[in-house]
Amino acid sequence: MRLEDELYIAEAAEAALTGKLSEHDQAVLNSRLAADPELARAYHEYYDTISSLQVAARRSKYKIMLRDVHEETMAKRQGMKRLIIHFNPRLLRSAAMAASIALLTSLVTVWVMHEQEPKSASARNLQLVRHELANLKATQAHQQKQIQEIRENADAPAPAAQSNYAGTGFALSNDGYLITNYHVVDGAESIQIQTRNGKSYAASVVAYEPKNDIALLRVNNKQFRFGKGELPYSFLPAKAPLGAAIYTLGFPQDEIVYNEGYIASSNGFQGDSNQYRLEVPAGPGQSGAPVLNNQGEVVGIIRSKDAESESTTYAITSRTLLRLLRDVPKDKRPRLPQANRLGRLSREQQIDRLQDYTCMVQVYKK
Amino acid sequence: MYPTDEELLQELATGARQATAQVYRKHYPTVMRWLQSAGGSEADAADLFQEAMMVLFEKARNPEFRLSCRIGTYLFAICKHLWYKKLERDRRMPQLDVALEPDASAYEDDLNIHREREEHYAQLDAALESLGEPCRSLLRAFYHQDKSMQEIAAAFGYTNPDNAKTQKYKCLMRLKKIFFNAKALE
Repeated sequence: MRLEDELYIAEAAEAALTGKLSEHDQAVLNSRLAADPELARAYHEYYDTISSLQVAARRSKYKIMLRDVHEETMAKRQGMKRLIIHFNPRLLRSAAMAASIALLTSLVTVWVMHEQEPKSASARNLQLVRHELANLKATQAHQQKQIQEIRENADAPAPAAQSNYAGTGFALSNDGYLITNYHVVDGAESIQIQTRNGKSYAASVVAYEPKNDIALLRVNNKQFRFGKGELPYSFLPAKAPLGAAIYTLGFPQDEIVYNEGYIASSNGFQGDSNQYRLEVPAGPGQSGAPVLNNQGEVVGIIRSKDAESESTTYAITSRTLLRLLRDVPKDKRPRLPQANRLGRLSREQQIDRLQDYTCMVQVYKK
Repeated sequence: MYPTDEELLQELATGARQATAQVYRKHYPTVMRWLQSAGGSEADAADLFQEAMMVLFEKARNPEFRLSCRIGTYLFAICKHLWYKKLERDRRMPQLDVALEPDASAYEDDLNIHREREEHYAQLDAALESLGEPCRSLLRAFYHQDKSMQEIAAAFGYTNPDNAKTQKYKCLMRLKKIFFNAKALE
């Protein structure tokens, strides 16, 4: 088909759909369509494509609104005051508003498409987890028994084993749940976390999901608490916007290290929508480090870095983390903090508060 | 407040927030309580109810649509079906006991249409994604963000709105091709 015909027919389909086709144009169109079956087929395909685009836009706007209505309803139920953003169509005309919606819309639409497949995949992985976990638990219990026996026999503390791999983890709840990367704990014989005060505690894997590289751990001692109170940070349920300023705290060495940067791309490695691409320096040992925004909300978890570049880093989004956590059985799931108490603090104060809840994850492998 | 379900649905079909919020406030707690007693979490309930609201929203937009029961009854039934489907998928429960559900096939039909629709738009999205820039952003700006050709010309660096318009139709040409090829491959 000639380009002019193609453009003519596309424009006609759009005019018909938006009610802008005059009677005369309609008559011309009809006679051309009747005379040329190829043109008629193209017309119907354009009509279908354009109307799908229109409906898709309407649907994604409604989905965003639904999520907002949900938050509002829940906030009201909990008696909390919340800034309410109304998605009034007339307001959409204002440029600033349109820009913010634009971002949300594109994220949502990308998400829907990527989410379909992995969801079932992750469910399958989680089933695998349970099997392997049982084995893991059995060996752990066995080892602990052995260690105890050795201790009793030798009547002396067991020699401190050298960790041969280390990453970073951070708390999901004050009672000992924490998150790190799956690759940090993969193949672990035993796992120790080291907290701010330098003390080490044994921890076990509760669940993991290799595809998105997430492992949920819990400190074995149920009396363990990270800090004095509930976690000071909350988890951002949506993706952080492109360009958002972020910072991380991790353990590339024995001491905690601070780095700052920004969200460089809404999607991560090879367009993975479960990740962001960040511009922030990161080194070995920082896998599993929290990524926070200016308000002190967790927006992601450091996962990997580009080998070619010093500071191109990839992080799993908090959104994906929250989604995966929903698949964990209720009795093995941490109670996530609901309120963010870092928002009004200076960056230095935020970092100080965070250190109680960020730890080194030391892994012993054979 | 909308006095009757019919008026409420008419408003809902336009995407009105107030009507949506009214339905949400009134019916979400019931679904949440039921799901929690059935072993689901609050997050499950949120997902489920929002999906059911999408089903209702699409249904309400159909001019031939007449609700044969109360909105609450309908939403609750859709949520139940969605949940049992999810359990079935996760194989935590063997099968949905259809006999227990009156009108089960009617809900099944609605859900099948809903699933096909979701797939259709996922395909469209995939096609949009694979277009690359600037086409992807240009089409989104026009169709999703209601930008005028004037604004688009300025934002994308075209000398005038007419050039932007030609570019938009060229992008549309490529989108249509990818979209229909993908459909043909099914």
